[in-house]
Amino acid sequence: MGRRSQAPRAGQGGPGPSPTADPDTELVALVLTEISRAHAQVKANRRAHRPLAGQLRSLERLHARHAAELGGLVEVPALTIAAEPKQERVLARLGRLENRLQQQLVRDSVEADSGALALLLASMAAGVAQERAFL
Amino acid sequence: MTYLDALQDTLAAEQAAVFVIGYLGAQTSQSAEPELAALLRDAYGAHRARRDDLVARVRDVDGEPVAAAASYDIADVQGQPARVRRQALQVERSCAATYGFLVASSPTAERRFAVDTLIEVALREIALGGRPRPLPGR
Repeated sequence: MGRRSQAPRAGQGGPGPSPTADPDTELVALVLTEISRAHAQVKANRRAHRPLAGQLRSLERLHARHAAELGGLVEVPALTIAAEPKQERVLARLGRLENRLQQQLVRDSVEADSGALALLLASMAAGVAQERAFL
Repeated sequence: MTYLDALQDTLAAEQAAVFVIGYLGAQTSQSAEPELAALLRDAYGAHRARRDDLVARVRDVDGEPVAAAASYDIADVQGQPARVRRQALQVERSCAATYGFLVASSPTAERRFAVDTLIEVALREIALGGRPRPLPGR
């Protein structure tokens, strides 16, 4: 399902609400930022903690796929990841961040005006939940 | 598809799930396959609870809940835990697809139930040995 027909990216609909504006435009822009942040977090952790690379790569790909569904990753502030010798702590922290993203996607799905977008966001939340089970 | 149609389809899927998971549980030895038996017991309880939720939701919108089918097509899986697991996984995947339709068809005020249950079902897929996969709508 292509998102572009459902909810254009922020900025495509003009400077403010209009009678033809997609009511989900703002929501999609917010979700893209949330997913892009999560993607950056996972990517930075994968690079900083090489032994976890295999485990984190599928999560990173998931976020990239989700972002692509909504128009592509957006720029987010660069992250500095402190070295953490205990891998379980890294995974626990990422697990908490992913849980937060999952809960946000659930709220976003409930808020969506379009049923198709609601389904897409709910499926993304379920996908994150499935990946979290492997962290 | 109206919200009521989607509720009725989801209820029909849950009725099938209750029947099939119940059957699979009955074919699974608690002593030989304790982990699988526990998973099926939990899944059975969850599907029964969701079925009852759906019956109430159908009535809330003045619908008459669809009845369970007289029988369901099920394969003989006795003594074949791998087949039991596969069948159970298939049930969960089918339910995930149905909950996806319910998410898309629900008014925002009623949507949370479908979203939460879609996630619950997706996690049960993983517990049953499934791998993360693109879920409905993607």
